[in-house]
Amino acid sequence: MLRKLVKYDLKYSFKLFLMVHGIYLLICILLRLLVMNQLDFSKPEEVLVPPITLILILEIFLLSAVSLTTSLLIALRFYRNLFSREGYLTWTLPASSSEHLLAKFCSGYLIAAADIAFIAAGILILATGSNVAEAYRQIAPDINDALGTSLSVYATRLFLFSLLFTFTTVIQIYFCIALGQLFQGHRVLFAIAFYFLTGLIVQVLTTVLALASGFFSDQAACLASGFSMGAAMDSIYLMTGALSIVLAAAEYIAAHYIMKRKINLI
Amino acid sequence: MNSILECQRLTKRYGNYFALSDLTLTLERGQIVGLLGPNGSGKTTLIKLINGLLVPSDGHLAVNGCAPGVETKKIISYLPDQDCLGNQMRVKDALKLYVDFYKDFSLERAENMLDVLEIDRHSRFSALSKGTKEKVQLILVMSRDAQLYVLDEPIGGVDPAARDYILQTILTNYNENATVLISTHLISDIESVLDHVLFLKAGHLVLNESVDEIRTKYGKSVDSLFREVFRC
Repeated sequence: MLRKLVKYDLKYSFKLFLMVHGIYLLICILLRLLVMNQLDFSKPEEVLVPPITLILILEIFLLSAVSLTTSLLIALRFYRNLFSREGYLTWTLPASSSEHLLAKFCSGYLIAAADIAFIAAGILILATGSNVAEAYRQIAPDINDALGTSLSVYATRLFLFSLLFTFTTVIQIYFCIALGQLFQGHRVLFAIAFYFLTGLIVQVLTTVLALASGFFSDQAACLASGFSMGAAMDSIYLMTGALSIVLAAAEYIAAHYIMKRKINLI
Repeated sequence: MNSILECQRLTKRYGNYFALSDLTLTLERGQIVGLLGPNGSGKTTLIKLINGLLVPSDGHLAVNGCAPGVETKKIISYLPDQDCLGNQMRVKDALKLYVDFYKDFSLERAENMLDVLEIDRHSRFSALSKGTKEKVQLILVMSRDAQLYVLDEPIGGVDPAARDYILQTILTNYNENATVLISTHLISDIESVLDHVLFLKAGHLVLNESVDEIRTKYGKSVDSLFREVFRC
């Protein structure tokens, strides 16, 4: 039953997901061929800064758009399938609320993980030209010092971390939608409000935890004796990751309770 | 053989409002039951409780001896009072979904009915008229060999000609051991097919009798009795 539910979820999201990410990869390939490959890093700064700035802005915009579309795809599937009129069919399929939530979690995680893989592929397409690699070699020692390891090792760690912890975002989305549907007249509004609220709670708790564990004073000491940005970032990622896992577990349990006991279809 | 549906002091409360209050009821197998009452009488609440879409505030409910859950969903075929198939879906996708999820679904029966109505299996639901969508949903629901069919307003939104087809579909597609529970306002249209009726008023069961009993006891049709009981 779980396999069938996941299959139908992925089938619904498949076309739009591939279309959006296909366009993203195509733009990355075009940017690489038309802009990145044309860059001559031996030229003066004034000539290099405008195209690099432009490409950075464009890439940030693209990444935001692609990630937002993926999150909306996951959220909309969950909301429509379980809490809109489609819920009358979904909830009367011979599956338990635990199976429905687990199926949505699996499909949501697979989509979110695929999104991260596509984003990483796009960045690799943009940044792996021979001219960029050659230019990077000039500054590699400084970057390695700052990160405490090579850029490729650090980027791989960051990629794996994102891939592993993206499930917490999926659960956060589901929890907020499940909680929002309790407010009959303003389901979507409350779901969005809860999403920002839980995000804020994670940020505040991370900061409090960092302060309480003496993280900032440790970093100040590190700064004095040779600062490693990579190590500092690793600590922040681990702290946020650990906190997100605890919060995600609580959110999953709460979402399951709501789905089992408090469903109220329109 | 045990009864198909049993409700014991079933209550559903929203704050101080009782959508259903202290309802005790048993439905036997092999009959078509009309669930009748004005708006807000608790018909849809009862139907949602039977289908596990709501959790009772008090009392209990059993379908074929089991509390609503996975096992009861396997034997209930439910037609909601609204369009529940995604607009992006095609008719053939809906057929596939029913084949995948319900072991008791007869694809052959569904395809025959679609052919009779000349409904294109490649059409998206967004392209179908309201009446055609309702017919497709009814075809899907009645193509299952369920033990309990729960039909919420199956003829509410369609023209009189389509009503006849829908009633005919219901009559010809349920087996003699199955029970059909039909909720509707259009009593005169379905009276001829009913074996038993339940009147709900403000969340209370005010009448639970067979159609024959009503005719002999009150000397009236179900429609006339309904108008009398629920006179404004």
